[in-house]
Amino acid sequence: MKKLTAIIMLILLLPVFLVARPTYYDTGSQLFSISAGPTIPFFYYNPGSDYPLTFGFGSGAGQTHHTVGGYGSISYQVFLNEYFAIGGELGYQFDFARSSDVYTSVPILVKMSYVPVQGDFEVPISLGIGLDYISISDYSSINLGITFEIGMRYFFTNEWGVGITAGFQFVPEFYGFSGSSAAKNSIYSNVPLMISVTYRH
Amino acid sequence: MKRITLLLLTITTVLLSSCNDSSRGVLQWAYQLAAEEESYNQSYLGHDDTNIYLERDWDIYRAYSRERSNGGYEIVYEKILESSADDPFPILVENGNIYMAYKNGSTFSFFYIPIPEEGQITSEAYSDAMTNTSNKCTLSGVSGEISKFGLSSVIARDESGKIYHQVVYKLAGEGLLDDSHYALIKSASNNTITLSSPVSVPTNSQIIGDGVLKATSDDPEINIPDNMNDLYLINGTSKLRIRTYHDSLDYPMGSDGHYAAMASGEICAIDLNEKPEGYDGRLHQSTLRFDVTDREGNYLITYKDGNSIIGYLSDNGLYWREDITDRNESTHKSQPDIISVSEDSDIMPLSFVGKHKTKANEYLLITQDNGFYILRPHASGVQRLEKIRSGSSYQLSDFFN
Repeated sequence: MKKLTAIIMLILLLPVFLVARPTYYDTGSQLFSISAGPTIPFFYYNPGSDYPLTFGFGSGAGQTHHTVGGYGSISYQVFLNEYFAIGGELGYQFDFARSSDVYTSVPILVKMSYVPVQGDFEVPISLGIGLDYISISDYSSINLGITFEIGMRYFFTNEWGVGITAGFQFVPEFYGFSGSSAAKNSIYSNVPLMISVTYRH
Repeated sequence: MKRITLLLLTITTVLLSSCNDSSRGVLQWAYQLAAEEESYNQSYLGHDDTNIYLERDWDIYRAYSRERSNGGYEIVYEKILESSADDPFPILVENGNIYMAYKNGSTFSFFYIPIPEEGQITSEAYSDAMTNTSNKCTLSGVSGEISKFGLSSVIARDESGKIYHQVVYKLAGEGLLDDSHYALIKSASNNTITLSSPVSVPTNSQIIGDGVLKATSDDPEINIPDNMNDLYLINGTSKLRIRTYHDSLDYPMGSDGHYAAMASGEICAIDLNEKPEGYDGRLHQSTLRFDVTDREGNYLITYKDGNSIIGYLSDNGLYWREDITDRNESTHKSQPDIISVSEDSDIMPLSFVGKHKTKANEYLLITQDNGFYILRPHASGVQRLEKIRSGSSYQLSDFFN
């Protein structure tokens, strides 16, 4: 899993080191994206558990007890200058626990993107922070949600482009600093691998 | 800027946490839901007013029903003692104590440890209980040291629903060919484990059914060829020796004087009216015959509730037949009724825990593999075996007598 993540990161970061091209965006330029793709459980950390840190999908010991799932999102961003854009993202992620109950996550994020390579071919790097509503069976909670993504996209017309994105989604569920509350604190992270369609204006 | 961002993140996190009042973490629940669906080799140790106590993979758990916020109940498992194969093994749970046995040199010793109201028994408390004189237990009516102690996971019940644990023990100093003693553990209180009056049985007996022992010659030092495939039915303080004529014999079952056993792929009645010389009954080969040769890996269950009922579990369902007193061969040559088993097809050997306090003909069963089931009549007239899942309207304590 670690190797796979490193390779994906390397491939995605490669274009960043390419010779910079003229900027495409100005202050006030807008991006609208729709993305969808599978999510792979990365890790689940619960210090109070028999297995505090588990990795990957699967139901065995040392695994997260989540399956491969899916994620879909829509986002809208406005450029603050030639390289930085800010906006919002609304998403829906699901996967299954071993009991076959559906685990769902609905992140509502403020999304900041840096686009160092832009034009026909672009490399956006994004950070999202906001709320994440998670639920399974009859339990639910609202938490902090954090995502980090990097992608590549190609604009086949002046406005429309398609791309791929990979990243990490983190849901830290926090209940308190001590006692039984602290025992419930945990973090779940997964890796979304998405295809996106982007309209820019 | 960095500090402000960190401060904002911390405040947001703390504020969000105050919104969450779940009795458990959602992510934790997602993880544990999976764990609860895992298969365990579990056996029943006893119950109190609200909890059933189980041994699961050597550890001891309490299982109880908890009301859910959106209706129904869920079964919660809480580990109360962590143990391993090399540690003392539990005998039963009664009067708020776990009674345990362990081999101390060549003899067995017994002790009890109180169950904490919540949380787990610490390793210090566990080792203290093993060594403290005040926690030591003796078996009532047994004088001398115990050199062999075998506990059956099969549960015996009397008419009031009281659950007994069956045990075969042997005293130190007895010879290899001396008989062992069979008894029921009737109760336990503080330092005494109370047994029923023991019945002497062949030394190499194994408990394999409700009041049924099988004598084998597994031990090469013991040569009792004549007894090789005999069954011993324990009835109060007497034992009935049954002639079987079969090399392959297993899964005896029954009660109230009506017994059956599987021999050569068929379930046959044990007839107590025919008495070959030296025997109190025989396995009848021509009555009560179900052909089960096409079902490998059958597991049989018994229940005693006024009527004699037998059943067996195979890879494709739970088969069931009431009234084994019916000796009409043509009736029994047909397959017994199949009980519809919902969803899970991997249910394993099971035993009855109790009958519902108010609902007629509904029974709680515990599997040795993966949880609790209810056997209940269905509107279609077929009985159904349903796993108790989260949201069920049943509480475990509904079935405690």
